[in-house]
Amino acid sequence: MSKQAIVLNGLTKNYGKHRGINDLSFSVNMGEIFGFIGPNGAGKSTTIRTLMGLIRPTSGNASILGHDCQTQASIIAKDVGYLPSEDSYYENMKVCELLQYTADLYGMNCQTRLHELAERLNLDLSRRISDLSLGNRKKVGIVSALMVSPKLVIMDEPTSGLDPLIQQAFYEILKEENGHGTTIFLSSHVLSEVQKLCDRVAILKNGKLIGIQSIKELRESGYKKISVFSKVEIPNGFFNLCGIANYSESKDKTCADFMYNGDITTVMDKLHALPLTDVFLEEPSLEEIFLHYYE
Amino acid sequence: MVIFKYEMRNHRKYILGWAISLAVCIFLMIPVYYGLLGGAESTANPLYDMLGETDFFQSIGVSMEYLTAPLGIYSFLASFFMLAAGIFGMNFGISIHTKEFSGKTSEYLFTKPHTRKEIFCAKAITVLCGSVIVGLAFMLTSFLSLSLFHTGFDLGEFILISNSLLLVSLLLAALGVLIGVIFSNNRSLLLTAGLVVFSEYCISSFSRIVGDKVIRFLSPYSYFSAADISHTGFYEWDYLVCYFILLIMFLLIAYNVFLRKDVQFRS
Repeated sequence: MSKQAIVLNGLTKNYGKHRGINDLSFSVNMGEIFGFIGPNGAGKSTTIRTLMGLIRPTSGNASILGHDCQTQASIIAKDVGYLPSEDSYYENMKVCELLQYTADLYGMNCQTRLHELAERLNLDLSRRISDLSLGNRKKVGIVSALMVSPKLVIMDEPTSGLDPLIQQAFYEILKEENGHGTTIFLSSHVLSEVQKLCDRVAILKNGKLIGIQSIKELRESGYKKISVFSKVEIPNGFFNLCGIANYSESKDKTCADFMYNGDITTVMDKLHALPLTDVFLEEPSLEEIFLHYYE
Repeated sequence: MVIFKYEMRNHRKYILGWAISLAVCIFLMIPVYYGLLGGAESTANPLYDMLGETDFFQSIGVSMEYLTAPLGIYSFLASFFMLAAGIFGMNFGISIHTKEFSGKTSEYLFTKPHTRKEIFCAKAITVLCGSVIVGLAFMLTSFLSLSLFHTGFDLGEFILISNSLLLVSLLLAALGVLIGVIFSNNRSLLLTAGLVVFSEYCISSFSRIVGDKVIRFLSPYSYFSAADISHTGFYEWDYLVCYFILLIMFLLIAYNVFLRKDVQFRS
């Protein structure tokens, strides 16, 4: 068995004038929780749909669990639980009927797992799909993807529409699945979600891969978020130091926010020179760390 | 097989609705029309006098002479039912593919462990079975009605005429499958089906009136003329061969497009 669950090799999809994805190359290790983040329209869903064999790449190739995504999509699907970004299912079916149809399509009996997941996600199996809210449709998709005990789970924006309590239950389920050896690949534009779950993260912007980093490395990169409140105007260029990023100040120039990655004593000396009313040194969120990628 | 079973269950109301509707209509219309048109001698009937001098009967594939034959009025009626069966078949063929797009369910179905070949075949067989059910319902009810209200007809000739409806609906269903696969984002299914079928019907009428054999090849409604069936005892071979070539060609092109095409997504 390959040690890499997913391998992308120069994967490109052009839609004429519309942006697709451009020369994506990275891999996801077996047993890893891998995040795939980027703003809306970055190409996350296009990448995932290409991986699932729904659309064909203009160039490049990709493989999942050692099988080619284009020619062996149905073989790959046996070991993959997929949650699409669109939560649309057959409207005339009841939830239990749809999930039974999923089990039949996989040729499996998943009744025990199905009921366990439905209970944990508080999903009513007797309701008709057409009567479900966005959140409940998402739950149907999650149960459908996980009940077949896949080796790899691919989820496109999995928590959109879920309330915080269910999100928490969902994260726990994913961690348990991962504990059993399941590889998880999830896309999101919500970095806090990725932050909670993932081992590594790939950042996508305008269809191009910006970078791949482990969450641990990102956290250890030394960026601090500093907020300064001064009694007087902060002079122009006062914080013109190496390692400053995302600098912003208030209109009256008495407050400033910035990210800092460098010798902490240098910035402390600067702060000491100002008549401060308050100062905050915080651990930045991933949103803030990645802000410069998006800009 | 799983997908086929699901598709059949999902479309059972549509199939049964059409089958029952056509069956009830033909069952009731046979005695009514035989009473209306067949009671007196043809020349004494004012309807014949009025329409017989026009190309009306010729345009629907029934000659004036044949109309007075035992199955003449039945074939006259069947020609109109073929129009309905054509719309059924084409609409079914288109919708079985486009519904995945309009219902945004493509991502669900196409990411399950079944090849596109299996999905296409399951859908094609569903359309085939649906058309056969509707065709058989029409044939059996016609037989029952004719047996009850108008005895003394040739069974072989009846089966050939009645089977024309199934053959036409199958060919138009195959064309529908092709249209559905190529234009999977088509949202005006009934309009598309209606326009195509009506156009075919008009081409058929036109070709019969002008008597051009080449134009007849353009419409499946021209392939199975009741008067010719009565005359030769079977379908015309050149049109039958053309029928099967077109049927296979539509399905093969649809299959190849289906295998290669990117799945369409509705935003």
